[in-house]
Amino acid sequence: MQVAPASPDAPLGTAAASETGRGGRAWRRFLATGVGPAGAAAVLLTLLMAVLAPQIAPYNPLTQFQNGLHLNGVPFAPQWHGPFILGTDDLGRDVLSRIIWGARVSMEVGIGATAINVGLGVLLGLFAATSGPVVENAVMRFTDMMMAFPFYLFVLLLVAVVGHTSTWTVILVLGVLGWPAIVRMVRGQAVVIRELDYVASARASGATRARLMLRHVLPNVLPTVLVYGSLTVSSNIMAESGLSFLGVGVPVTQPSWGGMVAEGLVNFQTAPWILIFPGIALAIACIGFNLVAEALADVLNRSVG
Amino acid sequence: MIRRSWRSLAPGAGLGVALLLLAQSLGGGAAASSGTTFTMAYQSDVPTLSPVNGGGYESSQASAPLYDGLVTYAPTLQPKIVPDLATSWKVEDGGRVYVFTLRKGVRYSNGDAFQPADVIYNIEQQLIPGNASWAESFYEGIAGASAFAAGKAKTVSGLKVTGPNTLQITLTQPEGYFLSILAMPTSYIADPKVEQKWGKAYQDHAVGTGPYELVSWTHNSQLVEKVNPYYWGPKPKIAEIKFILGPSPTTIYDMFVKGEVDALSPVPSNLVVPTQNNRALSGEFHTVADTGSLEYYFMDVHTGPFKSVLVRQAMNLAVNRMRLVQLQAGQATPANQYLPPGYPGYQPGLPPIAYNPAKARALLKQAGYPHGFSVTLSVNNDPGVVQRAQSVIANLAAIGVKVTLDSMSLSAYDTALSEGKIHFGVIDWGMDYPDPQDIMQSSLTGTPGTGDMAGWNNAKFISLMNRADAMAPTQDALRYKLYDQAQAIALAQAPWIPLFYPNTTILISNALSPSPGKRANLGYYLNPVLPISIQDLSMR
Amino acid sequence: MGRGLTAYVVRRLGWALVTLLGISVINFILIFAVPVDPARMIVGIHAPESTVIAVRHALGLDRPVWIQYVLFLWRLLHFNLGYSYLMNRPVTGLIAQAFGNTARLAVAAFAAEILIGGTLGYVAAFQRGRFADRALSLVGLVGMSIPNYWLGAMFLFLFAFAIPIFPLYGQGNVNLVLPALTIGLTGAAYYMRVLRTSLIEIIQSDHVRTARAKGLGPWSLSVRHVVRNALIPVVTLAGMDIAGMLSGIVIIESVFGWPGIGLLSYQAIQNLDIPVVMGTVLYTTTVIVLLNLAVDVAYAFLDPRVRYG
Repeated sequence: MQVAPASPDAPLGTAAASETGRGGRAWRRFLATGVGPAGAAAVLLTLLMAVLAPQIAPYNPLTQFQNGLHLNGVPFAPQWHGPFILGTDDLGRDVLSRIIWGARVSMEVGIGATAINVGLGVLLGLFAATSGPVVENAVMRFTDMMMAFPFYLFVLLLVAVVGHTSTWTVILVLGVLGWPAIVRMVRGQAVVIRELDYVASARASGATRARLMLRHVLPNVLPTVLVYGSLTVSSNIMAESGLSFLGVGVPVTQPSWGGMVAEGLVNFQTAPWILIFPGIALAIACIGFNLVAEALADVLNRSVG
Repeated sequence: MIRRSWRSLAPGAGLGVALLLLAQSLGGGAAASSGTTFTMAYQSDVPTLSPVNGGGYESSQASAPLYDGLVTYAPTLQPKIVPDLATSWKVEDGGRVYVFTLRKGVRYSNGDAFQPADVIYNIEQQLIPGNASWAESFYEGIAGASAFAAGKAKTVSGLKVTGPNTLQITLTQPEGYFLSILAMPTSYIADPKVEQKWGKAYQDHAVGTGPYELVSWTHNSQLVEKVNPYYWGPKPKIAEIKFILGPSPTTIYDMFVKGEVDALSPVPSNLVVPTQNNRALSGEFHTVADTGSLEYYFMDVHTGPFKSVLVRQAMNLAVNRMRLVQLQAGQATPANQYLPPGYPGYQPGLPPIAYNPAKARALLKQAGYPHGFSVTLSVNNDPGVVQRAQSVIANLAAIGVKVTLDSMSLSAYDTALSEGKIHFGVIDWGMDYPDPQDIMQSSLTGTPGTGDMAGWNNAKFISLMNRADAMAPTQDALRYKLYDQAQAIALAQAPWIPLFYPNTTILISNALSPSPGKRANLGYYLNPVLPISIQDLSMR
Repeated sequence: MGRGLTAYVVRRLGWALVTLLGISVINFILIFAVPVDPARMIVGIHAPESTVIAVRHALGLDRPVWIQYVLFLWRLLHFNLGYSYLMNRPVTGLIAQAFGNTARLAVAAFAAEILIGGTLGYVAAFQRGRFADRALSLVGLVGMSIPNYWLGAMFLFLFAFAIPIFPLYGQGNVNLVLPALTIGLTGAAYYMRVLRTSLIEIIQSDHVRTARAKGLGPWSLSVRHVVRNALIPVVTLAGMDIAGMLSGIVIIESVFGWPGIGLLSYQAIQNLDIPVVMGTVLYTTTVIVLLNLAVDVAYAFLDPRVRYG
C-alpha cells in the first residue's frame, strides 16, 4: 500500500489526472481492500433502513402503545417472541421501529449537511485557488476565522437565535459550520494542481477561470473530496447525535438515534436497552462511512491524514 | 401568588413533610451528635445566598440555615406564623400598622450586633431598582415604599424604629397576608455591614443571624455551612450541612444509594420503581400526596381555535390522565379541578374529567373543526414535562389536533411566559399559602404575563373572586361557597387542561433517626415557601 | 533564520488580532439576534414591568447597539466581562474557575490519547502491512465511531456505580480518570493513524536509510530533517485537538457533570445568560486562535519553507 503524505496541504504523491479513467481497476481494488465492502455494506444497510422504513418497520415509531408499558410505567424488555423485539421505550413506543426510522434522520442530516459542506467547500476552495493572491488570502483568512469559532458553541448559539429546531435547521447549521475544513483541503490540492505544466499552459493560453476550475482542477480534486466526503458524513451523523443528546438536535417528537441515546441515559438503570441499541446503530453507520473512506483513500491513492 | 416550577416547590414540601415528622418524633432532647454532616445535592449551583434575589428553591434551602426573618412558619402540620427575630407583635389601626418587639442580644455569625434598623436596611434593598429584586412588588404595600423605589424619597416613611428594640411598619392599606410576606425568604435579615462591604460579591460572604454560618462555597462544586456559635436559639444537633452542586439527577440518586447524599427529592419518575424494589433502600422512600400542587396546560382564549369553549372542552376530554399517572410510576392523581387537594376549598365530591376521544372529536366538529387544527405547545425542558407532553401530544393527534412541541430552558420559558409570548403552555403550580385565593386569584385573573396566562378574564369569575377575597376569615364557610361557584365557572369555561396532582417523592437516609415510617400519622407540612429547618433534625 | 521566523510570528499575531476582533463582532451580533429581553431575564418572571424598565436603564441596555458594542470593547480592554444575569457574579471569575477545571481535564485527556494512540501507532508502524496493523487500524476506527457520550455514560454506570471503583461526582484528580479515559479511547484513533504514518515515513525515508547504512548516529542532520517533517501532521492534530479541549467539551462535561467551560457555556446559552455567553465565546475563540498561532509557529520552525507562504 502506497503511503502518501498525511497533511491535506502537502503535495500529492502521484499525478492525479489518470486515476479517474481507470474505473474498473479502481473498483476491483476497492473490493480487494476487505474493509471497503464491509463499510459499504454497513452504509447500504443504513440507507435501506432509511429509505424503506415505512415498509420494514413493524410499527409506527410514534405510537405510544397502551400495553407498551408495565402497569408501574416500566418499559418492556426485548423479547424475541414478543410483540416488541427490541423492547419499548419510556413512552411505550417500539424501539426497533424507532431505530429503523431513526436511520432517516441520520441519513438526511448526514448526507444533507455533507452535501452543503462539500458544495460550499469545493466552490470556495476552487474560487480561492484560481483567483489572484489577494482574494485567495482573504478567503483563507475568512476560513480561518470560521474555523476559530468553537463548533458546539456556535451551534447552540444559532439554535438559540433561531428559536426552535427542525431537521432542516440542523442540516443547515451543520452544513454551514463544516465547510472550512473542506475549503482548506480543496484549496491545498488545487494550489498544487494549478502549478502542473498542462494546467499552467492552459492558463497561459488564456483559459477563463471557470474553464480552469471545471475542466482542469475539479476533476483532479474530486477523489480527495470523495474521501473527505465520506468521512464528513460520518462526523455529521455523530454531530447530529451529539446535538440531539444535548437537546438541540431534531425535534424530540422525531425518532433520532441521538435523541434515543439521551433518553436511554436517563433510563439506563431501568431500561438499558433504550441506550444500547441506538448506540450500536450509530456506531455501525459511522464505522461504515469511515471504512468506505479508508478504502477509497487506498484505492485512489490519497491519504486520509 | 407565585407560580413555581417543580424544582422550587415539590422538594421543599416533600422534604419539609418527612423532616417535620422526624422533628416531631424527636420530641425533647436527643443528645447532640457532634461531627455529623447532613448532605444534599443539587443539579446546578445555588443561584444566590442573598435575600435580595432569593426565594427560589435551591437558594432558599441553602439560605434558610443562615438567616432569620422577623417571623417564620412553625414546623407544624397547620401553617402558623411564629416569632423569629420578632418576639411579639401588635396589629393596630384596622390592620394597617404592625408594631414588632424584637429579640434582644441577637448577634450575626460574625459577632456584629443585630439592630432594628437592620430590618429597614434589608427591606430597602428589596426596593432599590438596581438590585433587580423580583420580590420588590411585595413590599410596595408598605407606606412610602413606592416613593423610595422611584427615587423620590431617601427613606421609606412606613418603616420606623420606635424604640431600642421595637420596629413599626405602616401599610398603605390592610393586607391579611402581610405576615406571610415577612416569613418569605426574601425577608431574611442579612448583616448590613457585610452587604455594604462586599456589594455585589456579598453572597460569597453571606452573614445572617441563623443557626448556621457559611464556611465555604466553591461554585459548581460544593457549599458548606456549620453551626453558628453566636446563634440565639437552641444549638442545632447537626454540626455541618453540605450541598453538593452539579451532578445530574440520576447521579444524585446513585449517590444516595451509595450513602453519599442523605436526602433527595423528588425522586425522578423513572427511578421510583427501582427505589421501591431496592431492598437496601427499604424504609427510606416516602411519598406524600395532597401537597397542593397541580400540573396543567393553559390555552390562550384569544387565539385561533382556543376562542371556542367547545374546543377547550374537547382538549380536556382528549387527554388520557391515567396514562400520565402511569408515566410517573403511579406517583400522582388525575386532576378534576383547578384547586388541588391540600387547599382548603378543594371539593372532594367532584367527578373525574372523562377520557373520551370520541366525544372530543364530536365537539371539535361542532365547533367547526372537523379536520382538527394545528397548534404549538411550549414547555420547559424538564425531562418529565417533555415526556408527559409527548403523551398528551399523541392523545391530541388522535382527535386530529396536530401539535408542534417547542421546548426551551426553564429560564427562557419563564421569560417567554412573562412576556405573554406563550399561547399554549405548561404550568407547574405549587402552593404559596394554603388559601384558594392563592391559585385562583393569581392565575385566573390579571393579565397574561403576570398571572392569567390564558387571558381568560371572565367577569363573573372575577367578581365572585373579589367578593370572596374581601370577606374576613371568620366567614370562611361562606367564602368557600363563593370559591366553589367560581371554580364551577372555570371548569365549564375550561381555560386550562388540569392534568394531575403530583405526589412528592422523597428519599431520606435512615441515619436521620427515627425513621418517619414509624410515625403513626403521616401528615404533611403545608408550607412550600419555607424550606426544611435542618436545625430541628439530628443524625446518627 | 531568526529574522524570518520573527517576522512570520509578528505577521501571524497581527492576523490573530484581526480574527479576534472579527469574532467579537460576529459574537455581538449573534447575541443581539437572540430574541430575549436581558432585563426581564435578570429580574425573573415575577417582577412587574416597572422593575424591568428600571433595571434595563440601570444596565445601559436601552442604548443603541453600537454604543453598547463600544462599551463592551472598552470594558473588555480592562478585562471586565460584566456580570452574569443568572448568577450575579463576575463573568471573569466564572470563566477562570471553569478554565481551571477544563485545563486539568484537557491535560489528562491528551495524555490518555497520546499514550493509547502513540503505543498503538508505534506497534502498527512496525507491523505495517501485517495482520496486527490492519487489526489495530480497525480497532481505531471503531473507537472513532462510538459516540463518546454513550461510552462515557456506560463507564460512569459501570465503574462508579455497578462496581464502585470511582466516585460518581467531584472535581478531584481521581474524578478525571473516567472522562479522560472516555476521550482517550475515542480520540486515540486519530493519533494512532497520524503517528503510524509519520513513523513509517521516517522509517522508510531514504535519508534515514542512507544515514543508517553509513552508520551515522540517529540524530544526524538529515534524519532530524525527516523527523521534523514527519511531525508536522502530529502537531496539526495536537493543535486542533487541544484547542478543542480547552474550548470545553460540552458533551463529556455534561455526562460527568464536570464544571468546565463547556458546561458553563452550554448552561449559559440555554439560560440566555448573555454576559457569560459572550465571555465564553470570546475566551474559546481566543484559545483557538492562539493555539493555531502556536501550531503555525511550530510549522515554521519545523519546515522553513512555510515561512514565506
